[in-house]
Amino acid sequence: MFMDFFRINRFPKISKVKIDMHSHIIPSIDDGSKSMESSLEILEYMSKVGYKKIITTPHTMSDKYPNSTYTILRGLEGINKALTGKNIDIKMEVASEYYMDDEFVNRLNIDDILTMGDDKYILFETSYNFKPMYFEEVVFKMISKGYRPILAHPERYKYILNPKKDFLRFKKLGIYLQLDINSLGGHYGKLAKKHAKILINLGIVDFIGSDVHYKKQVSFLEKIFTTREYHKIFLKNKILNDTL
Amino acid sequence: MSNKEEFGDDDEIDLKEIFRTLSLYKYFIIFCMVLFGILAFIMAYFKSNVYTTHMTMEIGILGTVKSGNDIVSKAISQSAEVNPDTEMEILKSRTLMAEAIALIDISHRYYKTNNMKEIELYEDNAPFDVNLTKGFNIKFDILPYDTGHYRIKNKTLNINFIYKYGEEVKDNNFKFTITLKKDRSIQPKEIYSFEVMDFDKSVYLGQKNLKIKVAGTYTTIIEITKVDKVAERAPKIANALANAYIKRNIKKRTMEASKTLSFVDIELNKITNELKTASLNLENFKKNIKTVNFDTKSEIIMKRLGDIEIELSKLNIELSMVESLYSRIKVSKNMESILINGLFSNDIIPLSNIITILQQYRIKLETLKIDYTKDYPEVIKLQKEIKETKNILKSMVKNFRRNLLDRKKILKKSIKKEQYLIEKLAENEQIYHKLEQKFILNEKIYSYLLEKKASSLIAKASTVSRNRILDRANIAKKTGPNRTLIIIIGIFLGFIIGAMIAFVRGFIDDRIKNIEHIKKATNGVILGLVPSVKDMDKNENIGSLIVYDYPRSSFTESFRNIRSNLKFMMKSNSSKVLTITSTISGEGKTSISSNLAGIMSLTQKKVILINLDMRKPTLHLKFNLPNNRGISSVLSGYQVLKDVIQVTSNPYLDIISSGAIPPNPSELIHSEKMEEVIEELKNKYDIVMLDTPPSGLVTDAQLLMRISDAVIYVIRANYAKKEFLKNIDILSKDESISGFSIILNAVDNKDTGHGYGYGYYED
Repeated sequence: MFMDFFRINRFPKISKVKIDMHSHIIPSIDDGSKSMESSLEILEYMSKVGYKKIITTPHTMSDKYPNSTYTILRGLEGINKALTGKNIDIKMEVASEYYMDDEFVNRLNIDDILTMGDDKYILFETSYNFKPMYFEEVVFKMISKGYRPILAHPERYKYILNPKKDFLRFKKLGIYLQLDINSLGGHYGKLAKKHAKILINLGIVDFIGSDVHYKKQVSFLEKIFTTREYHKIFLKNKILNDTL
Repeated sequence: MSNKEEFGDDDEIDLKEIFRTLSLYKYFIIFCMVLFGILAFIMAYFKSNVYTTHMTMEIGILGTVKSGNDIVSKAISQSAEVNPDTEMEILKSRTLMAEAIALIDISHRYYKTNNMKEIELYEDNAPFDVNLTKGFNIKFDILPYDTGHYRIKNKTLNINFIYKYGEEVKDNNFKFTITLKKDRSIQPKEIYSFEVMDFDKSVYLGQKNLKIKVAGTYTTIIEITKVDKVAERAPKIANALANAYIKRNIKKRTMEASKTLSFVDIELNKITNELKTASLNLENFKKNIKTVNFDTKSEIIMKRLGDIEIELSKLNIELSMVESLYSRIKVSKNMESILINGLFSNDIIPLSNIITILQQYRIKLETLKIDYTKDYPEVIKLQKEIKETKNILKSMVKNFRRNLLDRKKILKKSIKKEQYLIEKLAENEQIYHKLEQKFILNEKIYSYLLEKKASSLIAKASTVSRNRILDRANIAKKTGPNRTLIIIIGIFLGFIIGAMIAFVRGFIDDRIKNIEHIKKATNGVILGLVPSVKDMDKNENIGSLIVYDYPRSSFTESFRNIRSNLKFMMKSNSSKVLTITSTISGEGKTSISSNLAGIMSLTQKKVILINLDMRKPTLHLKFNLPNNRGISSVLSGYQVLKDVIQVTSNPYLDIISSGAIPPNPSELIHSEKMEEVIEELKNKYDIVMLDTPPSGLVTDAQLLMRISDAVIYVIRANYAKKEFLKNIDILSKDESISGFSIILNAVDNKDTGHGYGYGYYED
């Protein structure tokens, strides 16, 4: 309690980056926001803590969240429509958090991919428990095709057994690494928190994301913003969020 | 599969293996720790308190009366030097303890039982006294009966009697009286016991837990440590031991003095006698030779001898002259010319007188001859006179010579005598000196012994111990048992034993447990791991699949991963036939194939799953469908294919159950019809999945593998044996089999090394 109080006085409850590039705000399209109302609440809150632009990233996962470029773009349209007339100063964009599976490979083959930024960044994730057999091949394919792969929340994969070694391997392969801010608060467990710190100390974090699914997570974010650990990210790493 | 680089070194794996084993058996290890902890607790509770006391003693202090350093005193006194090691052994000896125990009485032992725990009491603390004359070393229990009576019990002797206090308890084996002490009573529910030990057992008790050591390397201080169950008894025994030791030392030293004394006495007696004899001999000798002054006496003899010799030489001269005289006289010539000089002794004077007369006659005759003739009477007369005188002279010389010879003889005899005397004198002198020496020696020894006797008498009178107690043993302090330590050791031992058993079990466990075991034995592609489904299992048989019911479970996720991996592996679009097999039945082949078929059908692929394990029809149960018609019916020609295809709740997934159990399942699989069926299905479906019989039992699966585009070999963790991997490795290298891969099924969380839980896939 005392430490919380201490922290609150130290740093403001404001995000140090203006652009968030990982969230699930389009309603009823994945496990994120359940309704348009809650989506708007989240956006209002996000705006309040200092975000100017949200690149929201619904899941694309063959059987569980069978989204497509079409469904996602339609969702963005819906959000923008709902935002008009509301006094929320935030800009919406979309990409997707692609689950690395055979369908993703198919999409990649036909370049049916939603990217972010001018540099064609692809945000992707893998199974939490099992590293795909073809992981490195697919990464190679993405890079070869001119994309820049961003691995979402590397700190949260349980198949990472030798964090330092494995993370550096990712970097060597040409992968950009995106940290979930809430990992620092232990929101995703002890292991994620531990690995997050390792990533920060290695100085290999490229992006930070809110990975917001519901409003409560924004208040968690607020707390993290006041911590020393959050500020340390920027001391040790070159964060590319605001280049998007 | 991703590069091996990401799985760390072999050493790390071994360490992981250890932790894995430990965590696998953690409940067993905890059980062992609890068990041993409890055992240790019980042990610690029942273990009696022990008390320790210390005392120190200085040994080999030099006494006030010091015996001499000469050989004799060393010879007659016992070892003068003190060796601490020797003294230690003496202190440890049973004999000394027996002497110590004789000084005190520790034969009575009393016990009190409280909360099932027996505590030994000091005899003063027992409420009663025992006077025992028979029945040593037997432990009796005393239980209160009423104020005046008590109950006596002994299980081995099978006795259980009630007696009055003060009454004699008698039997063939024992005889004793128990009296209550003043103002003491045995409370109800209290149980006492007693035992009266015989002397040997008391000595044994005295020696038990007795430690004796030298306090330092260069000191002669000995430390005695006694540990006992009764606090008061420990110092009692230790002090008694020290006292006995000192007592024995004094005794030994007194004995030494007495020994010296008696020796001295005996010697003194001998010497006195010898001295007496020596002085008597000397005296007698002196008497016999009448002199003690050998020098004077020999001088006199020598002088005398000289005189005699001078006389003898004189005599010899005289004799030689007489001899010449005698020889001349014998021939009777010129007798008148004989000269008698001063060399002759006076004895010769008459002889010279006669010669003078003879000479005067001769002169007279000569004068007469001038004037007268021979016949002149005067001449004749004179001639006659001369003749007579000559005869006188002749006889005189003869006598004189004889005289001289006699004297010479006497003188020679005297010399001989004197010479003998001298010889005799030297001999006597030697004897005298010998006797004198003997006398003096005896006299010396005598006086020494007298002195020794005096000092020994003083020593005997003033013997003190050469050992001294520095610190007496005080009331013993409680030194044990360290109950906490016992419990900690117990728990630790439990951990060690538990862990050892776990390792042994892990070591002798020949089952495949984790992916590392597979990787060690084969290079076959590992398609994925499937976690064990314990709580989800219940739903398995009621017609639905886990991949449908729990889309966010790690189980489903693993299938999603397998699907992707498989898709990636079967690159060509023509890949259609997928065989799923295992070494033995029960490895989860059917569960894997149905769930895999399920997850594949979710991607809008038309999938058909055929159960070819016709000996064990189980597939229809998963989908809650009938099994009256199935593949066996088609292969044996009783049915047509389209009639046995059953639809499931998922429009993309159809199944063909195994059908009635045929008499010849292998023949059916090896038939041409089989291939026809597959070809037909390939046209209708995107994926044809074959659930085969176990490959370890029959060759059916191998045939099916060869006509498939991909093969999934299911290994059930903690079930399949490691030896199965040999065959799996052979299959993985078989070039006639394409797309061979392995799925490790029913992996426990702790065995994956991934640490995933049921944690549903979140966000």
